[in-house]
Amino acid sequence: MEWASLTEFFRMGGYSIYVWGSYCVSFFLFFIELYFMFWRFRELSKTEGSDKNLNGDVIEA
Amino acid sequence: MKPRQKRFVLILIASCLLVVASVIVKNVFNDNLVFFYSPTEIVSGDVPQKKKLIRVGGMVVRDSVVRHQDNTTVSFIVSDNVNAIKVHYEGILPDLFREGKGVVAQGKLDQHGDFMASQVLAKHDENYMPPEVADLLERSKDQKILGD
Amino acid sequence: MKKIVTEVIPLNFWKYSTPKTVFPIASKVIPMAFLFAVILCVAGIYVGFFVAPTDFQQGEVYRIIFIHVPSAWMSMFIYIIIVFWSLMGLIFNTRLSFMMAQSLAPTGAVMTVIALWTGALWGKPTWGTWWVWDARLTSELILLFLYIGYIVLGASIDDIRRSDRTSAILALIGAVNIPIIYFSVEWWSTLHQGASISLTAAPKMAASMFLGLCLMSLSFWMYTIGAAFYRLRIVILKREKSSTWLREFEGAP
Repeated sequence: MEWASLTEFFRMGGYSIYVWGSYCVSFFLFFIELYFMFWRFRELSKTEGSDKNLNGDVIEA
Repeated sequence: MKPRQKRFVLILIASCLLVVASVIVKNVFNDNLVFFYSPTEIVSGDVPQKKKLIRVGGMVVRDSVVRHQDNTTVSFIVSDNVNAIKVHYEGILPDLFREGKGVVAQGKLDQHGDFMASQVLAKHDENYMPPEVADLLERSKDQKILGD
Repeated sequence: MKKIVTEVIPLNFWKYSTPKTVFPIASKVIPMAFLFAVILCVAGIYVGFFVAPTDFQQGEVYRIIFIHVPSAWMSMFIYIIIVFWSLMGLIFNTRLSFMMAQSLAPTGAVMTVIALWTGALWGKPTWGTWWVWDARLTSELILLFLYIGYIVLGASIDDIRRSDRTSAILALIGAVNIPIIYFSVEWWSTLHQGASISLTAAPKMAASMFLGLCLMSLSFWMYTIGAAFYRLRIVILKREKSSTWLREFEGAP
């Protein structure tokens, strides 16, 4: 194990802003991309006269 | 010719043009996107005169770093193993500024041929290893020099 | 005899390259790809933060590598795949090829943004600057503009056939930029260091660091596959809303 304690781990040798700033923003961007994709798919798969999307999931009104 | 064959030929021509374009772009980049010059290029005057600010890149010569009394002015020698330039700089040095490591300084030459830097950037290499391994490598290198 | 052979092979090939056949395949691939992406990412972060040692010159800040390098690789790989599908579409006139290319572009743009962002956060503490106009950084920024240009151009032309072809040609022209990004550190003097990993030499890093990098890269590959197929379904839904096969597919859950 590389780290003596949890604080040590979060401190990242004094580079915490840079390291965690990289990881957090990157995962946030992936999340945003996925969110918009899922949302768009849901919108499109709502078909007229049907309350089911293409996955067979029921969409709440 | 069938439409598909015609398309294929067109695409082939376009690809050839692209290759030519890329060669041109590369040459343009060669003139304008040189990020820094070596001390040799600066000493021999190969650097375009019209440039007001130039960058010099090379290794910080070991034991050449002198910190002046006010503690913010620093001078060091940048070398490419052929020629060397003395650099003066006032400001904070980056974390990876080390003797024997790469550096890129931006500024201009004064009348004595010294380089007055307004910005100093560290240029590190592409090797990553744990400190213990680096120590071992360093030690074996020293032994080799002693052995020679 | 000969005639039969030449007719049979293309027939099979085209059969598997229609939206109708790809849609259910994509639906199966997506959850698997995302599942593997998450597993590989967790493993990669574990190796990257708890197994890989600290670096001798950069200290802990080098751990940005586990996200910076995979995203930078993907930003280039995805563009190459887009160029491939664009070329296929232009030569064989297959609409699915263009759809594949378009499904990849937003993920490519995200990867490029991540590469630039993590690069800035890595450059500040090590080089001493967020950004410099050296060849590597500049060409990667141009790649982002190419992705944006490709997406915007495709979306701005209403006629689908024309939109497909025009954006595909833009993708082909922009392909010049990929070797420029990759070789920039060799061709010109740059602040960015050379490649640590290459096909021709042993990786210039400790084995556990390399393992972390591999895991994260595989994870990003899986994410890209999942996201691209997911977006492919969106493109198909948008374009083939009125076709009968989709209604049949919906009708039989």
